Amino acid sequence: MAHSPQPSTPSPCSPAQPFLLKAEQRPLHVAVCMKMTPDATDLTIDPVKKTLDRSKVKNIINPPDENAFELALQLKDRFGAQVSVVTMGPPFFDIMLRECISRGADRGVLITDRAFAGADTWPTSMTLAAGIKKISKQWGDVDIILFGEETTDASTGQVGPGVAGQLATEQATYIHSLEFDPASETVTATRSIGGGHEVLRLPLPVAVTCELKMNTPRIATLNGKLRGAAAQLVVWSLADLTDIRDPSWVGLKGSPTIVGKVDISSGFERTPVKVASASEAVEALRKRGSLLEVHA
Amino acid sequence: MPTQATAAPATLPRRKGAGRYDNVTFRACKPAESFADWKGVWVIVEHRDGKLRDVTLELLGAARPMADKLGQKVTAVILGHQVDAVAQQLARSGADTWPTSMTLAAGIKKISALYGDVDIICFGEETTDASTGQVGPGVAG
Repeated sequence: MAHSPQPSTPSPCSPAQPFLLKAEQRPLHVAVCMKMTPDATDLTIDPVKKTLDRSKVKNIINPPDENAFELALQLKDRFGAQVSVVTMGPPFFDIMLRECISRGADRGVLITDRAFAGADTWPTSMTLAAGIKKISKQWGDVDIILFGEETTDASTGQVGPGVAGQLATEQATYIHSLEFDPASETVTATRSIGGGHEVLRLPLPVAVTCELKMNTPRIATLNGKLRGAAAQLVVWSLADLTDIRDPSWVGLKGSPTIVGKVDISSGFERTPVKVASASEAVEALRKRGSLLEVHA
Repeated sequence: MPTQATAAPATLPRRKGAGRYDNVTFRACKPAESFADWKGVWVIVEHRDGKLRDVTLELLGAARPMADKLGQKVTAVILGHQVDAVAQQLARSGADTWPTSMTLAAGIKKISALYGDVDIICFGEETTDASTGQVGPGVAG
């Protein structure tokens, strides 16, 4: 994982003098999709119900989402991009949105409704995509959509690609650096791969999932905290997302995945068994049912 | 017996200009109502430098009993160029058939035509060479 690459080229732009897209004469618009997750260092599983015991756990911003958001703020610092943060979740996610505004986000959008509960990655992607479409209508088209690489609670890593699919944008996953080139209005994304890096140059709009620790998230200033505390958050329910025409498309009902079972993995004692020959070992394994028949 | 399927990749509508998301529409994810016509278990093969990746063998290990239980064939789908050596290894690893394809979507169409629709597709979580993790979700979409 590369450490926070400092921007290699100085930018003549700033939040006060933003870079304007040539065709539309407006600043870049970056949306960051974020959520809160149970603090993994503090997590227990109910031994009876076999579900995550969320009651006692502190919720934090999903760690790689912090990096995605920091990347958005760097695009704001360098190019005067406007930054919208969007989240789907329960009402208490507002503390995350206020924290983001404290650090420099222009707005926080909370998409919250009982109807969204129990969503798997398909309806989650659709709901966020519908939110980004609505954000684009109200505050200008979103050019760059940022995500953390995955959440610490479900670890699918599918929602970023899912939103890219729903909105038919370009996409780059697991990136550790992203540069915007104002001359060509493209982004250059660098991804770690086995044995090296892959560098992608992509036109806008683009959806990008960001690796954990790709940069060092900033902390809010005191002034920022006051701004965050006073900010008016945007709160949308299912009824506000008119593109989702049927409540059965979202939440548990709209989710094709059914989690059959979650198990606690606990270690067990292994006892070594000595055998005289390889054929005896094979026979012992076969008796235990540990060997599949070999198909020649 | 590897067969080669080639077709132009489908082009996505590019979102350009003002109001680029205006025409985006959404729909419910509807699982098939009946699986009666569905056949087979697929494994999307990952390989590097002419060698199978371990994850593919693990998936074939999972696919084999699954297919046996369903009375179906395991199809290992190889993507890439000059993959004959990989196909040879697959023959010894529990795959019944191993068509190769240059593009995945085209491959799925072609193979569906050859062997019928597919029940279960097994993907590794991501490839070690590209690490996109987006092909599985992409095909599911």
